[in-house]
Amino acid sequence: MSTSNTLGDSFSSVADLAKAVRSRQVSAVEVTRRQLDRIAKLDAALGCFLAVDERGALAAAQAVDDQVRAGGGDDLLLAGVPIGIKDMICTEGLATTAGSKILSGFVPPYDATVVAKLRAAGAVIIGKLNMDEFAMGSSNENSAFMPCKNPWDLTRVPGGSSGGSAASVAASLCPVSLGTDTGGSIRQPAALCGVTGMKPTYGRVSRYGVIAFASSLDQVGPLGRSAVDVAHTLQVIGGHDAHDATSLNLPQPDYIAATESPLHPPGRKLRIGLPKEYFAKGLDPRIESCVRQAIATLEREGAELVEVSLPLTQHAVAIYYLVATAEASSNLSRYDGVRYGQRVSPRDGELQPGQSALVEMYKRSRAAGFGPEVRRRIMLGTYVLRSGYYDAYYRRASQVRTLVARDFAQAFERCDVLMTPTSPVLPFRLGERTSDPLAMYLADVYTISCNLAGLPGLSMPCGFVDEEGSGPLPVGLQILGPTLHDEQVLRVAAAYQRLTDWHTRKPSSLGKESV
Amino acid sequence: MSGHTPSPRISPDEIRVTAEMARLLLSESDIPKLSDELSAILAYANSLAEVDVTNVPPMTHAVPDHCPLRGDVVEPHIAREAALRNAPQRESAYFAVPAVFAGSDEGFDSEG
Amino acid sequence: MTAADEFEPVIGLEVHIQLSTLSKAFCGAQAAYGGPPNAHIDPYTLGLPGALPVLNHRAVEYAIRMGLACHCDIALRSELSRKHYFYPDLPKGYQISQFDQPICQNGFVEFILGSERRRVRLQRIHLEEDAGKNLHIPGGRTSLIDYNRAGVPLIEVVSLPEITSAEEAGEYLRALRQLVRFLGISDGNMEEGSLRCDANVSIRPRGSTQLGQRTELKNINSFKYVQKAIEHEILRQIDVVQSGGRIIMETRGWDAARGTSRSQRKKEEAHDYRYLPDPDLPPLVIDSLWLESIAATLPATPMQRRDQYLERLGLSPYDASVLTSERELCEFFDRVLLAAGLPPGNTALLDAQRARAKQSANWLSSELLGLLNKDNRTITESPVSADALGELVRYISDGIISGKQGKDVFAKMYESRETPTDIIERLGLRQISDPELITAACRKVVDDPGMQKQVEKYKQNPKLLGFFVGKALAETQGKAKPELVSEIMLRLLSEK
Ligand SMILES: [Mg+2]
Ligand SMILES: [Zn+2]
Repeated sequence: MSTSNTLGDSFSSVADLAKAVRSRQVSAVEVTRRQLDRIAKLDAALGCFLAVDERGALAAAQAVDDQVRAGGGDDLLLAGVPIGIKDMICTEGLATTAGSKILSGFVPPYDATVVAKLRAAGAVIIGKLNMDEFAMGSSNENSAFMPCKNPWDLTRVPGGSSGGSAASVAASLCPVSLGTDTGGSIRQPAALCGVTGMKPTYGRVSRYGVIAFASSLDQVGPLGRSAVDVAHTLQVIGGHDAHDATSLNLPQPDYIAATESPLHPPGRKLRIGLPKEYFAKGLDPRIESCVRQAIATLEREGAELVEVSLPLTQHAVAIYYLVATAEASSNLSRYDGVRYGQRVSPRDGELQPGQSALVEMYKRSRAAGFGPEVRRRIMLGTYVLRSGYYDAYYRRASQVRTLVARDFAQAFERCDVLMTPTSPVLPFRLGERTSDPLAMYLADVYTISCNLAGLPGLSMPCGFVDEEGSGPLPVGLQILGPTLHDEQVLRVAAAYQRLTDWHTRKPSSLGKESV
Repeated sequence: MSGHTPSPRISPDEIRVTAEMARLLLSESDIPKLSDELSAILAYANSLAEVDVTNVPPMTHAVPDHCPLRGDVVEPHIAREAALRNAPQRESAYFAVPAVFAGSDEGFDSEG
Repeated sequence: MTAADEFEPVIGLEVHIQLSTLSKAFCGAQAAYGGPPNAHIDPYTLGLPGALPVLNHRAVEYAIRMGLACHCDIALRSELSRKHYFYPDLPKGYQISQFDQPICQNGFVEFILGSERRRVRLQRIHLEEDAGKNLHIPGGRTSLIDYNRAGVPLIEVVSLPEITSAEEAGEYLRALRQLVRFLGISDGNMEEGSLRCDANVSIRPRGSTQLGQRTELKNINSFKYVQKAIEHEILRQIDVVQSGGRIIMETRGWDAARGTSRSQRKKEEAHDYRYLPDPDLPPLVIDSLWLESIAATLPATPMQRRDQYLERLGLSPYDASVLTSERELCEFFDRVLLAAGLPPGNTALLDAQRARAKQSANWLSSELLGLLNKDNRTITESPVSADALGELVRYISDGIISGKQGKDVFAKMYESRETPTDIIERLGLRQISDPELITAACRKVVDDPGMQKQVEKYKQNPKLLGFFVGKALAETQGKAKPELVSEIMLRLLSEK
């Protein structure tokens, strides 16, 4: 084993790794050191981490080892498992920026519920992952600090907004990570980086301490090498939280058991719905071919295919950009340079007569702190909430959103899960699509409806396309389930991964360092 | 207002008013660009006007549940120092901002 | 006709009332008034990234109590909305409030104006959170912010514009204060800001039914100034109109120190609050069983108490007002009545019982409150307990001691906190009302051979009865009940 090889990679799952730590086969400190070494060696080229918390990680690992050595820790599901956290999620004592200059220097005095749960389960928080500013973007190019690269081809984007979360797992910089998904921000980068990522049913995972982009759409979820790893992590971070009024007060399903269950539901065959609107114009035929092959694999296993229709899909992007920007303009009002973050004050003599130093401070701080995409969305969101336009835009979009949710409910009467491509396009080159915001928005067409309806969705690799001048580029298969049927989505994904090995492939561009 | 189709074109003046509301300082060159971009997005969103939403309630939350209530219990506070350390400007135990009054006729106190 | 007679003011009040919960409206930070700056803070209070609101059960209950007491329609489903504006004391850039669907609608508040019963109808009562406090250093270049108050629960009580004088506005506001104190939902302390009043004021030619252009008067922070500020605004508007000007829509701040108001914001700068249903808070649904249980345990309102005191007890309007001014006083009085032997509840009273109730009211309002006021004490600090006062009333109306003796006993009770029974026993004040004992004392006087001359004189002059009564009383060291002595003496003398 070379020094930059991670111990995490020697285990087939995070469950095995945690078991090895609990049984003192390996120490958490050793695992963490190896992981930190690899990050130190590779991340300069990748740009996955906005901050690596070496001291904190080693201290946390030591604490796990101490607990195990003292005879405890038997119930630590993620004992010694290194995990990267999207920088959208607050970590006590560790800078959290949401990928934005407006939060530079902000150190949260509290942990998000998901972070507290990870710590309690023995996970080792290794650093904060790169992202599009305030999760607004699909390429990670909107990070205020640096772009993140796709480990399969460093000239291409990792997707976004959880680009760092997906790329870090793909590059084995951490075995699992957390992302957030407002319109596809976990699933799309998972697809573009060839890893498994899941957005749970809205309300399954607490949003407390998770920086809000669009509150009624945001959901935290794990990314990992496999559905099994994702399930383990979700088991830890999920469940009811009294500090989040939108957290579902329901018993948490056994996600881990679901990944060990057979493909078909008891007593009958799995019905896979194929929404025809998702296999339409604009879809790269090479992606379509991979997705259809994956579906054929499951059909050979006895799954029944059902063609369904989600006619409102054509409106999903429009609804999304009205609802998400309206909520975002509201959520981002708190970044005003008063209590935390960056402040830009007008200089002496800069004030016009009648101007207030305070108001000018707000305007300058916000203009300087937010990047162009965030400013654009704040403007759009502010506009659609103005009293004269509210009904025509925000309210109408919310009404059509109801119809989207009804569409799904109807489709799920005829099938157990839906399968679709995650992204209509392969990972594109950095800078290729930044000039046209609307075109960029339209690339989210397959992932957005799931957030509008609050459904669980997962993306996992289902093949690779050899693009000229690049190596193989991953293709993502999206599985959507009915609301609250997260375990069904995981069950089907894990069953598929037992039949195939796409999820075990690793980018060769990173050389011999990776196993 | 429902059924009314607003003009999808957002004029530069509307951009200025909106930016003022959003407390964003725009440069003069930003304005026509934003006017074009936002107009394009709203023109695209205008397709929603075709959908019949008669008697359709708006979906403002993804959870059907009603609002949970918490007990009236005092919970742990955060350390004042940890909070004030993040302040761009502070004076002893207070957060500090440019004078609320100076050069303006803003009110004394919040709206409430 | 004076200028003021030509015009009629139309006033609507928006009153913010802090609810006296332990924790804040949407988080577990302490809601107490004061404290060192920025001590009552948590991630939500400061609007830290990622912090989320969870609504306080008790704040909702208090809002419902107020709604029920004001005869409002309680919405079984209401919406929590964000109201957006930027201000340093507003940590999130929005205030959680209610817009489209408030928790209480319609309803009214009743109060006494002069001797008349008045009713001001309400438009709504909604729940919201308070902002922090900006401290302005005069002439300074910075303002300081303390977020202790940020997030404290408020109700905003919005009246219809149908108050027609500054005096009525003052009485309405006092009635609200009294009501929230009775309901136990707020201390209604204007000086500490737990009750704050904005007034919408307009004038119109007397007799007109159209509303004039209104202005909004803010910053009225004390009962002392409510009337003054509104009066001032009415006169200012009349002045503007009479000198040919027009009233403009504006917000004016009351400057108590100067006794005047100044313009804060004109309409062109009026905010568009961009209300949005809060995506962090699903609709507030009130369980009907919960609503019923709140209604069932709702304390009586001051007006209900007043009606009861007037009708059941037969008190004077003055006494009824005094005794319903504070809930503690009402409760004290109710315990006095019980201890004085009156049946509780709403059972009808006999004349004798009503007399005893009036006597109780007198002892409380003129004697006890008189002393307490002199000593600057509140009823809860009274050295005379309600039970003791009731007992005293009972001794007097049962004729055990005289009213005159009662005053002495009361003075000692106030001084020493002793019970009336102890004092009466100690001083041996208990009246003799046993007819046999009194007859014996009377017989001793009339049978005294030295008295026969006077007995003969009595036959010519019955006015001498008092002389014999005095003698007989002296025989009992003044303890015999005088009425009984004179009755028995009269009989004995007539037998002579
Ligand atoms: Mg108001
Ligand atoms: Zn208010």
